[in-house]
Amino acid sequence: MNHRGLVAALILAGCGVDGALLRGPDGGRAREAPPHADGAEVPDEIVVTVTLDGAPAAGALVTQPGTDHAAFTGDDGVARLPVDRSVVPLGVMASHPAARIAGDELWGNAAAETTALSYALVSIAPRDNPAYLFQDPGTPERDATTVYCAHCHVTLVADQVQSAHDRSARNPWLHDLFAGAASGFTDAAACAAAGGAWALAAPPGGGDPVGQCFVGSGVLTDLNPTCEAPCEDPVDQTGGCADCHAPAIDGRLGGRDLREAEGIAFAHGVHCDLCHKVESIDLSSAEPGVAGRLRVLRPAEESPSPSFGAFAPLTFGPYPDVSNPRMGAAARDHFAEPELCAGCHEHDQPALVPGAALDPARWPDGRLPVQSTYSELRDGPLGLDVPCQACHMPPAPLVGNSADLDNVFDIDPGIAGGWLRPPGAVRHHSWPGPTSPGDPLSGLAATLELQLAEVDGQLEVRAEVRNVGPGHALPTGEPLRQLILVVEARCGGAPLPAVGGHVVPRLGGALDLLGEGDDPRAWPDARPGDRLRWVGPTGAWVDYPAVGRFADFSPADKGLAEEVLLAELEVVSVAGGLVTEPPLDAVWPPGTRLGPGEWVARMEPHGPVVGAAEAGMAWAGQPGFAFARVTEGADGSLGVPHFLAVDLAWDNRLPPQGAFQTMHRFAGGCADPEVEGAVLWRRAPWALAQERGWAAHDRLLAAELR
Amino acid sequence: MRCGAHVVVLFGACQSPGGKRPGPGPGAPTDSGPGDTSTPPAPAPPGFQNPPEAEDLDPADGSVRFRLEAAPHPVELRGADGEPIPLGEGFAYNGSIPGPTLRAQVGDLVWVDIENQLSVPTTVHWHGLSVPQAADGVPWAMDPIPPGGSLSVQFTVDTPGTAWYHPHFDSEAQVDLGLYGAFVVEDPAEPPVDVELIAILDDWPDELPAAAPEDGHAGGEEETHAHGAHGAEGRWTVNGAEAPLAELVDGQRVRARLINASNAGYVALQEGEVPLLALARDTARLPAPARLAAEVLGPGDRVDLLWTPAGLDATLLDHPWTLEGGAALGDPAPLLRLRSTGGAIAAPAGDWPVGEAAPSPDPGSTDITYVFQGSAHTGVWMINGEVFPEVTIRELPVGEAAVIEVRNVSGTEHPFHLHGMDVEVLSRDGVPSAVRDVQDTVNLAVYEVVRLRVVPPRAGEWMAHCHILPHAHGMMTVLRVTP
Repeated sequence: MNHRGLVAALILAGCGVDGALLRGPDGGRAREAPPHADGAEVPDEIVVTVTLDGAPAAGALVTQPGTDHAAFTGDDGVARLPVDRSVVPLGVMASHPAARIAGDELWGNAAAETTALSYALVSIAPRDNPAYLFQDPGTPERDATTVYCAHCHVTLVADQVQSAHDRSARNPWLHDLFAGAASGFTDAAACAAAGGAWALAAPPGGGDPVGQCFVGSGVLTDLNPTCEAPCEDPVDQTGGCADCHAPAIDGRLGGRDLREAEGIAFAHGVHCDLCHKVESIDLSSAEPGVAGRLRVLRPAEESPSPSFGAFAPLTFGPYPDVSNPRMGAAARDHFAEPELCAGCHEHDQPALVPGAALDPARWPDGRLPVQSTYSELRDGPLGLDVPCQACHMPPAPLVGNSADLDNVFDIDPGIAGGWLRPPGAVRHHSWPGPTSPGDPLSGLAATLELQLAEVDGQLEVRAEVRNVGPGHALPTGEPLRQLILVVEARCGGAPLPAVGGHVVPRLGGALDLLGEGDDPRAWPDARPGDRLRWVGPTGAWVDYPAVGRFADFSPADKGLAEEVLLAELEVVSVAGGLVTEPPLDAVWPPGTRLGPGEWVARMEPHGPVVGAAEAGMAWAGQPGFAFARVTEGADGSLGVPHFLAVDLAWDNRLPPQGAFQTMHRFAGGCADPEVEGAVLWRRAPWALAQERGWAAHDRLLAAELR
Repeated sequence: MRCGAHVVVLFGACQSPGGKRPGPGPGAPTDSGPGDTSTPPAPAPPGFQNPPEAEDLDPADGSVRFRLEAAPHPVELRGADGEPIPLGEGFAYNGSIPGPTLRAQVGDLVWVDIENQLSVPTTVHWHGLSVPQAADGVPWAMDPIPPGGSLSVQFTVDTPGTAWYHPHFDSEAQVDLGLYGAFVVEDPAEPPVDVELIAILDDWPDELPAAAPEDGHAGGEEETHAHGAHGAEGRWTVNGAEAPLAELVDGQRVRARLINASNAGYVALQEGEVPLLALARDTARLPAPARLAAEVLGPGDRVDLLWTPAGLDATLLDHPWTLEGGAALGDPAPLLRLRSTGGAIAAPAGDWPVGEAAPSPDPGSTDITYVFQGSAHTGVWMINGEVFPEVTIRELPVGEAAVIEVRNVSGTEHPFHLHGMDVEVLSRDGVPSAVRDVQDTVNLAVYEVVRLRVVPPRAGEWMAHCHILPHAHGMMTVLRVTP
């Protein structure tokens, strides 16, 4: 453990480095040490001798839990540990990276008189044991025995079961993309209406076959062309999904089929026993999750007690002062470091679709960045000194220690209950983010600034969206995510027609979309109140700020063609499938065909954009913009699930602290126009959500009214 | 030594003039004080003592002149049992920790002659006072006073209330070692009080770090950081005494000026046996004296409380609160004991002037956004992704209303202090302030968004930073107010 690790461990363990005794705020916890039997002076130190597999253990960390007292053993395996004998019970712990932590709690005369202790540590069996069965984290309702982590770690498990990590393996959107299914269509009729095929198949998580809707692409069918939906046969290509989404499938780790995720592995995804079995991180591995970067070590030693399960407990964590035999704890620095998160939140891949390949000129190392949250943080202004945990694991100052000491149970400090830690040292295991209910971070992430000006009798709005909060790009993570800016101008409450400027691109979704070669006058489904927006390219490339490889690309290689609004029409009346008012001839004379790069989107009426913002609307063509890492499939399709990707068409996600300014023009209409803007976080492209029947709601990140 | 128009100094405290019985009062010798040999040395709380009053060296009306000398000084606390607790060598102004109280009246021209007898450079910042940039005491705008050097500063005080002063050079160490004191600006329009308690709160480690290492910076970053980060668990004192006892007389009107001078520790008060009837927060008068259910004093915060005791025998408690997330597990700890007996004198007449009540409207737009980021694990702190002094200077025009939005992305609380101007809290997490809420140090909870209205009164380059002093190394930026 390096110096940084030592200090961190001490702080996490309840120790300051200022010499202050960090006993619990409950003054009753720390009592005067019992008087020494004969009144003789006893030194305030204990000589601790540590061996590892019978030999002196150099570099072992010995601590007095509940205080800042710590010392390292020398080459002789001996450390002189200063102790505060007024802390009752007096604990002494010995921690070595190669072994489980050992320790004592001393009471009465032993606390007053002990001047020497020794610990014979035994190396942890170095090989991962596939026979080990991952422990059930339990839930706040299932906590009856120590079989469940929730039995003691009440708050942390309550956090966990509400987190996205807990949902990672049972997320229906994941399974839809894996199986080529559409969980949003729950009966045969709805499925058929969506163009899907209704079939009986085993549900995610296992069980008897149930009717499911199969539609669209999926890992199973697209990576294994011989397996048609519902693909229930074993396949060669599983896409590696389970390596991060269901990493705790018992047995062999890595390369597992998501369909094997059952029981705890399905219900709790990235759960306690999985993360706390991560022995080390190997960022040199190309494979994410338990297939490579997360080095999981499941115990192989014989269990000392049937109540502990089949094997000797083994739990890696941040603390060097946990010697509860039920835990079998061993300290690791990485629990407070961003590299742990990089195990999954950094992911690149080759072309996965059979026969497809990446363009070596654009991706010379043969891998396409899919998730790059860790490297965005590393390369950004916050850097790795503001690790993921600093924002995504908020403090839990009302929790005495990770086992809720002094909060939930009437349990004394000591080896069983642990010692009180400084308020706030324990961190929530909720990992808030935009998919979390009531996420507190979303509202901190972005700002929107609107500036208004009158130009040539028109209202010109300049909107600047800035990524101000996170240390990573915005959006980050899964490339399906989008950030959408929408802008609206009103005059006396009525929308002002847009006449030019940037718009939300096609990926923002449209009720109907016409493109190159189409007749822009044909709108069979149009209804009064709809808006038709005609968009075309300017011929320029947008030179946007970028993260990663795109930061070094030329504007053309950045791939984002500038598009602007050419015209906007509000449908007044429709007859026989034709828009009768306003007359379309003035805009598109008969015989018009949309030119290269041109498109027209139909959008339904909506209220003020901020109010409508979270409804998950189709915004294509609306004055605004979008920021996304846009994947491209082998057939040129944009915004495809990443297993289909062979390129990134563009990646204009906002770098940390980065900003982008857009311009929008509206017809002049009044002296005191009102302009409203909103920045939305979208979980998946509108068209994909429509295809799968997902109830997709956007999250409002920022809004401004001018 | 001079007290304000309504109080005179008696035994180091400001007491009401006239025929009212002054009583023992804060600062008066107590039963357990020196010279008392008639009782056995039973454990007794230390008596409350106000900091000494600085002598006004300028006899003229309308101006005051003080001398402040920063010099090494041993730190010795008084324990809850009355016993001295030596901590080692620290720093002091005029040989006192806290330093002497500087007292002026609204409109006074203030001269302060500062002498640096430390072995390290220093400055003096007037926290809560609107002063010209040249007097603000920040190295961004001036050279610090070298060892053996001196500096005279002048400014006019235009707002009544409780301010304080402290170094703004290596402040993490220098404040921690004892350099701070109260600055009271009196308003003749306020009714008189019988007793004024100046209670400067601080927390201390068991042992002070080295005061003057070779690198010229006092103290060690690691030690003082840890002290600050875990300040709520340290040894809290009021004017250097643990839970001192203030002996009062029934019926007295008592004004307590509480100042949190801690580097990083929070004090969380709750209405209880000791009422929290507040007159002012920071230097800003409340719209009217108000009963507070609770008040959290982050580092740099002040609150003025009004008590009229009658048979009071109670303790002002500090409830568990941590900068790592706010309300914390644990039991409250005694901060200040209050006892009143006998007398039942009538409180002086007079109503408190009221401040402006209606909050300013939020225009909805934002002129400047500051986002606080960092990690308690690594000790790296920044604003908008920038570590001071490599910062982007944002600008506002002087005299024009503007909105600053402050966001806290980190897992740690941050008291935001803006030099050169007061701020009005418009809203917290979107909830508008119910009444006008003006402060100079505004605490941000974890993940909180606070919108602030400012009307910069003076041009200059003003520091904006977290007042957790171990954070301020990096979590500081500059706001330029243009003429």
